[in-house]
Amino acid sequence: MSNFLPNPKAPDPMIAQLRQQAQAFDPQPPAGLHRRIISTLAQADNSPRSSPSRLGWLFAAGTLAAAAIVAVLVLRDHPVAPIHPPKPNPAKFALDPSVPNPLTLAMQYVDDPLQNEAENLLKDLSRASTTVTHVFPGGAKRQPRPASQNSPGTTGV
Amino acid sequence: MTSDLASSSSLELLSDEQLVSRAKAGGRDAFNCLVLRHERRLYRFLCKNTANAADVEDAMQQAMLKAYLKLAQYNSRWRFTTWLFTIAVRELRSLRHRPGPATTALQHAREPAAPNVEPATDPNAPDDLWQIAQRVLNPQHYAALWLRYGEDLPARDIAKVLGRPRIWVSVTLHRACALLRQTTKQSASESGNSRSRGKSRPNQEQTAPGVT
Repeated sequence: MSNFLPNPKAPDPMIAQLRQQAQAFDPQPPAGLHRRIISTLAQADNSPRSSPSRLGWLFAAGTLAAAAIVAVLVLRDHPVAPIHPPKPNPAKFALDPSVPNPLTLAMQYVDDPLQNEAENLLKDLSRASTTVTHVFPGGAKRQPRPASQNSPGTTGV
Repeated sequence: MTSDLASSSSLELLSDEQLVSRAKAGGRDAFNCLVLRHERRLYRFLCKNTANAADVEDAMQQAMLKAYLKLAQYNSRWRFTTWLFTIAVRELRSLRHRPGPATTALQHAREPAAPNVEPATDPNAPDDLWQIAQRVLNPQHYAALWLRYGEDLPARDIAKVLGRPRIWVSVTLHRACALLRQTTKQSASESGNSRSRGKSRPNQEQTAPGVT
């Protein structure tokens, strides 16, 4: 069975042929070419080269100058809008050291609503009790017990 | 004189990376040694990918000069040959955009330029796979195929040289091999048919007079 399946690890004959034919192609560079390259390199070595750092500085200076010119042109055409002072922030105010004691302020802000709530609750409860007493006018009222003729200790016998 | 010879022989023993670091430090002899070591390989690559012999020489000279001038930008993460091939491919592209009669470049290369040397294999032979590849493949695909099987570069380095993603290289190589295989099969079957026709034709000619 394994004879019928291609072995993936087996070298591809076409690729082997490609490699072999590539190795067979081996042109010699002309003798003058090497001399030309070496002389060009020597010329490049002798000619003054601007160093990359100097070029970088020149480029940076040019960019800065261009940016400054653009900024001046833009600002001249469009006047600067007036700057509004920022609104006071309550949180900043609470943390401001000029305020005597921020803790008492905070306690005040916290306690006040609680006191109001307690007062409101008491008012509501008293109102509810009066309402309940008014809903049941007679029946609910406790009737005074009539005094019995017989005293508890005596019997009819 | 003897000291020069001794220094050149000692340079030959150094690796590419060591030579590059020496050349970066200002040693032009080290760079000359790199030129001597790689010029043949680069020339072979350019011959395979350029139509014109003059363009091969120009591209090679410019590539070596740029490699020397921009040696500070060389990243040792890559092999020196990979960097050199990358510069050479860019040079070929710029030669293509040069004003004047368009003669060359990776995109237009159809015939290899091997000016001084007779090819070892007959270009018209049906079994010359590189000739078939040059005929049927896109020039960039052909360059990828050459870098893989002619120069033994890994896919990562081919991607760097051609400025393409690595997956493109893998897919391109796979497709190029498939196309090449299909073309060679077709040409083999056609040649087989022509041979059988050639064999059968004399018989027909022999029988034809008898029939009439």
